[in-house]
Amino acid sequence: MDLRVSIASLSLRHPIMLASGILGTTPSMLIKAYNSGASAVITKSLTMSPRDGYPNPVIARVPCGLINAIGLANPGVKNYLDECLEVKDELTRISVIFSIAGFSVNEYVKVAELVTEYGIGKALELNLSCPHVEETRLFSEDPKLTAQVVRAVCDATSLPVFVKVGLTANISEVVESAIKHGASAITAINTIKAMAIDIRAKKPILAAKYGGLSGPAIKPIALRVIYDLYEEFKVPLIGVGGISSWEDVVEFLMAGATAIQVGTIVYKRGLRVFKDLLKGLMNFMHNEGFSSLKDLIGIAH
Amino acid sequence: MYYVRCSLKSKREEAKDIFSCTFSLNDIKFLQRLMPGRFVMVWLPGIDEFPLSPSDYNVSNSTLRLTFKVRGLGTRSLSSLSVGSSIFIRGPYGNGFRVSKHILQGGSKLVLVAGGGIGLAPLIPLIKDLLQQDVKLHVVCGFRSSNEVFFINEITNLLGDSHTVSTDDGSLGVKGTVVDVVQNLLNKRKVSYVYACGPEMMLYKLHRVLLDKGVPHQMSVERYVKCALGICGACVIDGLRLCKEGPVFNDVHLKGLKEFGRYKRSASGVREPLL
Repeated sequence: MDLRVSIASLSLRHPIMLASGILGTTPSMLIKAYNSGASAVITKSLTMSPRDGYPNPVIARVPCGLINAIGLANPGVKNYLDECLEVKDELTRISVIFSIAGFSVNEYVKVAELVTEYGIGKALELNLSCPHVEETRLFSEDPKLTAQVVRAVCDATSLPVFVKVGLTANISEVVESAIKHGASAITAINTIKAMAIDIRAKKPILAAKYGGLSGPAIKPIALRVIYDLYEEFKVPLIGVGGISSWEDVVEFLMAGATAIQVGTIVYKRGLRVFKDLLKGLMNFMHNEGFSSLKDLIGIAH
Repeated sequence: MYYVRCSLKSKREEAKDIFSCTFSLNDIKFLQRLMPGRFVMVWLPGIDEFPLSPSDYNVSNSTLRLTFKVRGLGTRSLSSLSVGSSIFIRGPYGNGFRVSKHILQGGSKLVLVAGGGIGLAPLIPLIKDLLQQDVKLHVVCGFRSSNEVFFINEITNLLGDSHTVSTDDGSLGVKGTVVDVVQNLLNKRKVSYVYACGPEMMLYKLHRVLLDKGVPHQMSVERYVKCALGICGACVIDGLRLCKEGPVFNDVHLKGLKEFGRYKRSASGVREPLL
């Protein structure tokens, strides 16, 4: 059974990746996630300088998922890359995608240049849509800003550039702009701005008040977005948002995703989730007579 | 329900900047899931949320005691709560100290519990559990100076004189560190197992000594905790998450950790060398 997929120059052993923001604070955990079965692992969104993020609490559990407002906490791209160098051999053996974020076009470019120069990553994923960091979110709400940042980053790197977009009314324009200016793939969607209040404390749980909702609650929305984008655009799509079961994986592939990412489900099922999802996908393909993943992608159209 | 509301019943200053707060809470299941060494996330709305391992808990009268050192805004606010006011906790999280006949086998050999400074706090529930086992127990309590000494009456009540107090400056008890005291005991007695909690450099030195002597052990390690749910990665030490695989690690785990005794991580995830 052929489960391999290619996204630009990135070749993957199967379509199930670890999403950005989950466990990616340290290279050691990326290696562990890959060895647990993820086909690619994505770092935390890295910025030029270290960021503490928001104060605690940064996460709220809700019945249908999680709301987080980590606030793009990360050690800064230079510290991160230096730490990666210590395990460079292991990291270059696996598919590491560097998620990058910034507060200006120039910052995205500088981070992209550094990642490219160190030669550890296989692709870049531009986080243009963090729902709880205003300055970053703006990039994917305005197609002109999207154009500027995608063009500038693509000019500055030899790596394929994936653009992660959020749920906006003009998502189609934003994606069109990203593709036109050099994006090799679109990752959709980011978490959705949300909140939770503790009724006994009588306060919002998150220190930042608002955060990004992930988990099963957003899956049907993310699926719809992938379905729509597949109708409209020809670039590879990476589906993300509440994928929790192998059936969800199949739905996203049928909607048109070339690959998918999982995050929140790792909290419930641990790192064994990759092997479980893959097993379910393979059983389904076997039972339904699919010998190649390519035959499954977009079949629901 | 995510957070459990806890009402402050009593508070005492144990030593300089060290406080114990006893809370009542109406959640038996929460208390039943506690184990020595597991931790809770303490939320003071509008101020901070941080991890603490309770220094005592009692299912029958629904109480939980937190003993902590004032270090920042969160712990300072906790120390200035007035009786009757509320805090909120979630958890408990992580793996605690494992106590079993299998681990402690050794007949006449001694089991040691070693606490350094505020690291003594989560060891109290462990000592109570160990006293239920058929083992010979000795507790080593180390402090920098006499003005930081706490819980000695409590430990005397539990263990009689089967404990040693040490201070780095010799102002109370034996002069020396926890590691010095344990080393002396190892030279004199056969020790089957060691449990420890305290500053990381103390733990690291103790770990090296115990490895050298072939004494199995468990240690509770501290890291910056954010989500406590095992997904944010902030508390990772090498490939292990403190909130899932820790905070208590055994000698086999500790031996494989390159960051243990070398680095901590700040809120951003930047590695900071331990001094």
